[in-house]
Amino acid sequence: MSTPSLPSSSITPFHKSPERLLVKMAVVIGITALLGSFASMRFRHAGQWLPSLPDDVGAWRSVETPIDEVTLSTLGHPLATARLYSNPFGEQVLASLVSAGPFENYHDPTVCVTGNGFTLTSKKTFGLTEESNVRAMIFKKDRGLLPANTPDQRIVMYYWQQNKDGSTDTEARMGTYRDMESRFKTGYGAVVQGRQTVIVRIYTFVMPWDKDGAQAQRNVDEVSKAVFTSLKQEGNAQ
Amino acid sequence: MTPDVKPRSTSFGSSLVALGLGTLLAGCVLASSGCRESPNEKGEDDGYLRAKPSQSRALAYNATAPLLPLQPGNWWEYQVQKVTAVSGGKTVSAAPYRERAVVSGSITLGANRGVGITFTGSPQGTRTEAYQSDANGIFILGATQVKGPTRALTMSSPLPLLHYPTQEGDYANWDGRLDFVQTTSPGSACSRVTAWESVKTPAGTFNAWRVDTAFVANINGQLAQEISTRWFVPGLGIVRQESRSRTEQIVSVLTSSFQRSKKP
Repeated sequence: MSTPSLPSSSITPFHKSPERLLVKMAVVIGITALLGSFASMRFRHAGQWLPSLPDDVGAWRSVETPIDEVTLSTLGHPLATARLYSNPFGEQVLASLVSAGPFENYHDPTVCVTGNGFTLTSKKTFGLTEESNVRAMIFKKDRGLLPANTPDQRIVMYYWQQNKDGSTDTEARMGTYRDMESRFKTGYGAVVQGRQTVIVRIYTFVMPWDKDGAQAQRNVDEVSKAVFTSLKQEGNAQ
Repeated sequence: MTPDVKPRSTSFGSSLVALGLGTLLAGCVLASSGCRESPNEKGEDDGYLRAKPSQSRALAYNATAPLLPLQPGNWWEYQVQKVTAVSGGKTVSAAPYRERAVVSGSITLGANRGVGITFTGSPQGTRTEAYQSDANGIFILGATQVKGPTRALTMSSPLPLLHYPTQEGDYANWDGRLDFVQTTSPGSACSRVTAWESVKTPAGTFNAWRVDTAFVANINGQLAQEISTRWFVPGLGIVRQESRSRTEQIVSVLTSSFQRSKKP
């Protein structure tokens, strides 16, 4: 007596079976997980470059100024350094470098400074050197936060992101819809190109006698040019 | 044979994937088509930011209207206010006094020859400050003080307040020696043409060149530091001067003056 065989239409081929769908999903999840891990690793790598700030810039002398723990915590504990530059006239400029890994490191001054009692009162993007741009901003202290009969307080700040290869960028990456393109660029640079980046902020207060902030901007400009050159040289040397 | 029929779940899944990709593509198009952050934002402080901050107002030598006219007979009268720091973070203001500065003629201090300006009326006694003011710039050579014995402070080389031609933001540096009361001390100075700005004095309101000078010397082991700010008006001279050290601040403002016309 021969073994009865099931009709061929009652056996579901593997390529049409529910198991295949599960295998497909598992593969997709696995690849996504791998890509995610790779991306996380690359973002971590992107934030592992912290060059040094120059000790002296022309007549400016500097001292190291540690960044406070609250700020570092807000930024996601990146690598960071800062120096306070002083010139013979008692004027001071603060420069800080923050390594740029995950997007939480990219707190934009237009958000952070304005959240501390200042208002953005001007913003311009222009060339710092022939090969780099900078975003320059003026922040003015809210009048209500100052004692009566005291002069207005303003900050001149230069901001840019500098890659190890010397290229720079000035766009915000805080996470709103308007930053989408720049965030894509950052992601591509970090994950695909393996770029390492630092975020540079250099600023000073405008002295009361400096009526249109010209000297304050010259001070920030002078220190910024030296910092850009120093970072580029250090990036090329490594 | 029953023909194969595509299961509904597969076509639904494909539709979802297509919808997701389409949304992503639309987002990318939107992001790159004008929804990005603007690189410039106008505001009330637009005048504070210059695209080329190193390019600023220039200053060239003008023989007919020099910043420090040193023709013999020129004079300036100043009201001087001195504030001295005392212990406990307090300050004491001395009574203001009038000081008259007269161009007294040629003077030689050490190896340097210049023109002297003699100041009278100060409680510290009469002093003569020696300057050079020509097409090269404006320089301080030193000073002599007469109160009791005459004491002379001489620079080893002329200390520049500014060089010509110059512009706002330019620096002039000096490293040298000071000879004072039989001692020689190393010193350095940094001068900066800071701004072309309006300055008020009892003699009037003027547009002037603000020049800051930071001076430091090591005199007998003691560090002496002083920051001076002078406002120069072309053809008129110094209309305001402030000197600040750790222990005192002196402010001189012009009350009246006389300058001989320079012959063409």
